[in-house]
Amino acid sequence: MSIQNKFTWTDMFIYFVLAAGSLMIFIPLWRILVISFSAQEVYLLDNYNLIPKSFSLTEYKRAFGNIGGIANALFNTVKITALGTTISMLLTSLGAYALSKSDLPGRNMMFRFLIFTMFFSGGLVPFYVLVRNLDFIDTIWSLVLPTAVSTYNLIIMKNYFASLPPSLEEAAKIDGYNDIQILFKIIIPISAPVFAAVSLFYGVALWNDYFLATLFINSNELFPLQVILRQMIIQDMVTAEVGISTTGSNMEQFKMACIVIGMVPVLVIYPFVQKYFTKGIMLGAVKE
Amino acid sequence: MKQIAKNKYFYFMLIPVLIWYAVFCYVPMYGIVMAFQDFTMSKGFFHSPFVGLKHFQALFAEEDFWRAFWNTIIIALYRLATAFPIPIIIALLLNEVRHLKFRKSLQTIIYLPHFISWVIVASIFITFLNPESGLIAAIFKDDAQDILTRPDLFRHVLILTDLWKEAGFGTVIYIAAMAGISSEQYEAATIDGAGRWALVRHVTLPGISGVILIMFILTIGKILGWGFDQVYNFYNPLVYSTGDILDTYIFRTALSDSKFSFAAAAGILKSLICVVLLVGANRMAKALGREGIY
Repeated sequence: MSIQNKFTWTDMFIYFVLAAGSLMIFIPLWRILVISFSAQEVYLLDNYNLIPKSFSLTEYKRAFGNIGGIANALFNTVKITALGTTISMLLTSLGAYALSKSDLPGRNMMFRFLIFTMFFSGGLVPFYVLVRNLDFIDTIWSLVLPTAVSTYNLIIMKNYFASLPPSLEEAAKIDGYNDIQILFKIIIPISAPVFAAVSLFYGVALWNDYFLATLFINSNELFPLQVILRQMIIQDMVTAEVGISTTGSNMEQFKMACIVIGMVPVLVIYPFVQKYFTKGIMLGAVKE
Repeated sequence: MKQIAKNKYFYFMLIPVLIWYAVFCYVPMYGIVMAFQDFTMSKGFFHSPFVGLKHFQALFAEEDFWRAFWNTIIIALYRLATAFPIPIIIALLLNEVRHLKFRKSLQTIIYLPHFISWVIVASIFITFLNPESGLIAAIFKDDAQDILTRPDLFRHVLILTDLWKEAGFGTVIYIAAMAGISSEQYEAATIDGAGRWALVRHVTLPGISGVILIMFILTIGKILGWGFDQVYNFYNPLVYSTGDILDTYIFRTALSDSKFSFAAAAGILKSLICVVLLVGANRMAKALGREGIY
């Protein structure tokens, strides 16, 4: 956008600041990777290196060898994320599509009913009591239903649908489709960008959740990965308490390997969805 | 009536989501009555006896509550002064980067931590700050201190780690807004002799000022609930004096001590302050002649 093409001192300064900032973000993450993949002997001798000098999968094998421990927690997390994202996307896209019709009678009233919840809520305690009364304690439902809809995501989708040309729907109407068929056969297939971005937001939130599980899950075998990580590293519980055997491993490296396992899906999927962010997250959004 | 029949499929689509909001958002709002009751789980919202303001009086007499209250305010203001402006500055800097590949890689890296959970972020920093085995031990050797148990440093830890995780992603919204400024404006200003800084001041900043204002109002509205995840994963009893916030206080009293009505009373106070702040900020925006959020 700038017209001149000289690389000035100002540019130099800007590039330096930004590069330094991103290095500060990158280095800790990189360190974790290096530690987790180092061979134990090498790590113990020289453990502040940024350049990997050895490569070993020992800690990862150990993590996945723990049936009932990490592997089980990972399986729970995958299950929660898959089920939760499906429910969330279904509820959100149906609601968002209907609300994107500006001539729908009663739409403004219903939209206000949703928006109000962004600014006022009953708070933690009544929420907890509700989920208990629904008998969701110690079931997967307590993790996927109570936070299934995010009003913010719903608004993003609604705005996207509203921006689509109405001629598509009119053509489908003439072909005899009803509104539900139109949504599934016409609208959803052409809305890949917003579906990708919003699924990522829901998926990441579910993948990263420890809070609902801390509140509502009591049995070890139902814990998602984040809860196990929290117990292991933050609460510093010995691994036996958490149900993980680590004989022969270096605890530090084992922890790092588990952290990496907890981050991998995000690291892998996020860059592919990144290109939709700027388009998808339009703020004008909240208004209406 | 005819209109409704014509749109019947849209209403079918809305039924599930409206039911969800009614159950999971509005029932808990009704649940606020429990703050005025001696609530027990067996009797529920509907049959527990009313006791008036008893729990509020108990709350106001509680020192820990006031400590959490003031910590919340101080941390919120500290965050407002850092986490709000810094993404704007980063976005302005990014906007000046002309090498597209460099710019894209920067963005990929700085957005990334937003998608990592606070559990993992806290795990990373707790490991690095461990005075016996972490990076800090390597640098300071025997002088290494356990930073995470020092009340005087705890708020700085919160701010710095929050910036590490969220400052990059906070730029997305401003970058989107900058992309919407027409290039003609830049060209016109350049013809008028505007230099680089003049372009930022007279074109870019005014172009995103609407978004800045909306973000400011939204930030104010959620300011008191900001950071539970983070504080909960970083703090420990040694730093309660500067780090315990209303949300963590409510969480502890409700779940560890099972003082449901008492914790619900604290929750109501928090929600009320939030609504007052939000309405206030929105009024202010309108008084300045700008659009608010409602």
